[in-house]
Amino acid sequence: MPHKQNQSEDVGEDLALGFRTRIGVRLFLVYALVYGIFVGINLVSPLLMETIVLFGMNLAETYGIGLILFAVLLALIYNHMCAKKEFALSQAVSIKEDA
Amino acid sequence: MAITIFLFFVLIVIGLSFYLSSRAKSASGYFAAGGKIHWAVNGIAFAGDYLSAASFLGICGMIATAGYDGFLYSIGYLSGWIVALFIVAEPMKKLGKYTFTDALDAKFDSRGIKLMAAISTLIVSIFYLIPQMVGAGVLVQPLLGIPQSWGVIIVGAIVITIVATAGMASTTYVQFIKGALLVVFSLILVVAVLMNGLSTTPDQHGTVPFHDLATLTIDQKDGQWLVSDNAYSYQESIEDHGVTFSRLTMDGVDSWWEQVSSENGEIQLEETQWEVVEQDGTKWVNGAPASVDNQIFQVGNLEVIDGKEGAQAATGALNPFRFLALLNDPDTQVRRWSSVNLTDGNGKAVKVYYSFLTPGNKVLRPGLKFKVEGTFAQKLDFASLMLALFCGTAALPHILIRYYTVPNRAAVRKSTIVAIAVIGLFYILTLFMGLGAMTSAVINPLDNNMSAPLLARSFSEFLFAVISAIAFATVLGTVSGLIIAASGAVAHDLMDRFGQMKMTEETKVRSGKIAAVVVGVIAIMLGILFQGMNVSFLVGLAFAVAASANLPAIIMVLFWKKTTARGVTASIIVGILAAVGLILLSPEMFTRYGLDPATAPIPINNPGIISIPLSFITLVTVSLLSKKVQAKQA
Repeated sequence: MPHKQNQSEDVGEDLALGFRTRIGVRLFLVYALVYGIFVGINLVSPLLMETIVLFGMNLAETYGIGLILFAVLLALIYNHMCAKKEFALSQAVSIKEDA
Repeated sequence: MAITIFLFFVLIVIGLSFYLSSRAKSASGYFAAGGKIHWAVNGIAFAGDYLSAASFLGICGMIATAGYDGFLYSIGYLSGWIVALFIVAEPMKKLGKYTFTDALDAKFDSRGIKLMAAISTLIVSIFYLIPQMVGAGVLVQPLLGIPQSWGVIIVGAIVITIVATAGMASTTYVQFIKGALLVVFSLILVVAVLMNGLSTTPDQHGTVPFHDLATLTIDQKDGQWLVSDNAYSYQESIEDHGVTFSRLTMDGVDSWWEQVSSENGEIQLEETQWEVVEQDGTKWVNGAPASVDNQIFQVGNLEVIDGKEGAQAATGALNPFRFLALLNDPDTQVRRWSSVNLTDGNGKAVKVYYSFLTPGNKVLRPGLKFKVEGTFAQKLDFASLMLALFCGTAALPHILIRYYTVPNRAAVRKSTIVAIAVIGLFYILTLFMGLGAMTSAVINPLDNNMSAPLLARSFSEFLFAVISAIAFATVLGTVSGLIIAASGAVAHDLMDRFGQMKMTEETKVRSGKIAAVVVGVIAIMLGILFQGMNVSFLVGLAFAVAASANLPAIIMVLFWKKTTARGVTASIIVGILAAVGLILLSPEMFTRYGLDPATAPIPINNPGIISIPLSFITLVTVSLLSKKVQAKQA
């Protein structure tokens, strides 16, 4: 019964709204902090950005590319957590409906 | 070949728009592609929307000339997507229908919000449209050999055709194709750069001989300056911003030289490039009349690589880490170029392009453009830019409307994640493309926007043709998205909802198409009017206005229960006025007015650090005050 399954998925999606908001805000704050530190280092101690840290790359290159990759990583973590929660909630709704 | 590939792209785009026109009969079909786009397609279309002329042409050009400071734009633009994904995306989908005004106004049904949000959408869209149109003109000039203004008109005409036929469905598929091709061909270009490695004498694979700058010396004897080459005679020296330029003549023709060192009274001079425009419009380049064969030559190369010079410095193929490691080495010297306007002893104006060396460790950290080691105001300016880039993305109207083209909130989330991954990959590639251009003698000193396409030309004409066609499609796609957003603001927000015109689906679509044509024509006119203005500067303006006018309202509507309609309306008004006002009073604009930038009342160019908090404070204050008034009236 695909229609029923879709309905349950939608319900799961709605029930997970609070969870998604909480996780979203937390992950946003983590990223904002890391981004803020990057801006802060450039303002307070720009010479530190010349320090070689990884595979011959300096801190500016490593941190800059790292910020881009970190955004992708956080996005994947967020999607995984949300999808897991939505699935669990939609399963719970399905079981209730069947009962 | 370039023309064939370009026409092929344009025909595909127009053909697709007619093919998809059947989906645009209803308002939902026209403004939101019926909400039926697959999340993966929408994600890449997001990337297509976002990777505009500023990203591809502007950032690569800025990295090519200002090193790491250009890459700061890549970092900031990408980081803004975190705000979009974690804070804005899903709630906007839940609250809205076609435009972001719907979402802002969902809880209030306020005419003030409808009016101001629509005006804000129009202002941001038009500010964002100008650099795209200017970019189109810049791109078409070398591609088709036609004047810049014709490039603007061609883009405008094609986009009006696309938008007036199929709306969002067509725009989405154009963006999908363009976004995918842009990333694939940028990757190919970066692989070519890395396979090529680094050299101190880049000759574009034997097609353009490397131009070694000539040097001379001048020495003072018996009160007279003598030049080491007797063919030259010394005329005068002029100092500007700490650099001294000497005018020499040979056979009655002037030449300009930069003084690079002075030892025991002997001064070393280095070749420059220069342009003179006579009163009758005749242009001279490097002492001869300007022509197809006599132009300012392309520049940008390494003088020393890891302490090595000449043939022994050539590296051969490099991995990405080694490429970056060699370039950030203090023993690597990058030859960069700048320009200065001088007036010689005869009162003749001349523009001189001169070079100087910068060590690699200074090129690959912030500081060349943004003075992070400068005054408090300069540091504040840098922080302000990074704040505006972080906050601007989630408030851009043409990005926000894409949340309504997918069926549900999970699809919104997934498409945003695809966008982050694709855009993130592209922005990492910009670092390699920009540095590749910086070291391959492909930068046009007159306009660095063409650095990435010219880097492609250094490998092959085919790659140049494809990259240029994609860059052109980039402009087409972004302009289409912006015009859809603007037409939605006019037809849906202003006419239907604010004007309460009770429009049917059909009239709404028709009005949207008419609005698209009008906005398109305005964009063409502004594109011609703003020719020669810096593309990145104008995009920065759009980001600052969007972040100041829209983001505080979006965030507070979603997260603060005491937000009122008056608070939202006031914050949008204050955000727009503060951002635009601060920009108009900034040192950068004073330079453009021909005034002394030091006299500008606002010492920073990027307004975000003042205008964004001001918009938030306005919203909170007006909301609390209007709540009090309501309570009293009750």
